[in-house]
Amino acid sequence: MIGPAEIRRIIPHRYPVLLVDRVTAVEPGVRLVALKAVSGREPCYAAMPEDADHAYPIGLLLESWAQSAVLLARWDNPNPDVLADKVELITGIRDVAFPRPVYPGDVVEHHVELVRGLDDAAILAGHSTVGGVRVLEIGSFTMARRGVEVLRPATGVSA
Amino acid sequence: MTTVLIDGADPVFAGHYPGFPILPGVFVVEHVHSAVRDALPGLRVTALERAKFLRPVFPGDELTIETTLIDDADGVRCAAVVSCGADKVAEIRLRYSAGAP
Repeated sequence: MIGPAEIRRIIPHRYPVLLVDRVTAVEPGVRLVALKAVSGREPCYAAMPEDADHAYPIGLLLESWAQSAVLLARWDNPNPDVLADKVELITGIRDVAFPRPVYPGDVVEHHVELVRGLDDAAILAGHSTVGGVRVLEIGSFTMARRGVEVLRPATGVSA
Repeated sequence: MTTVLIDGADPVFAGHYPGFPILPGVFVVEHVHSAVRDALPGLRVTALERAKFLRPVFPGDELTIETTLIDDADGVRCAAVVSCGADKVAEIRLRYSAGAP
């Protein structure tokens, strides 16, 4: 089992968008299980009206699963700093289901499997559960590795 | 059609990534969802059927989101094209369904 410090040594994501708290199982190159605890104190809830449905945003849920996918892809080849290495970019995702919303207080367990790993790309799949109940299904998730130098915004665009 | 300015002051960029701010690709899905959810009362997002990400999004980009909503027997399908200027950023298909979570 590894926690936040070790996770930061493997992937480049940092506060406030490091969305994996713990890795509980890993078979390098094959599969990984990670936990993400959702709290009502997360920044996404700051501006939410009090009577709004507090379902955890799907973008953050997907990003949390995706970071678990990068952890598996980078387990034996850590990438803690994108400026010193390449960056994983999502290129496609298919057949994703959200069977049940996630709420503050939930601990999401992400399951990631490597379907195919190439030098500069990987295809993964998996699902997530809360208390054993499925909250997310990922049919296919594709990511590519790119050097930051080829990704810089076009000339004249200031970041 | 909806436009979204990607604010460089958003704290997300401090952590994604240090020294190289770039919007997480799946956040584009969230922007599409935010653009249509209020038009679909009583429905919740139940599937992301497909998304293709064609160009990264950087701080300061202004995204244009064009959506088409199609009713069918099981709910509503949302087909979205997201662009930044002349560049296509993403194509996204979401599904919304009625009923309890």
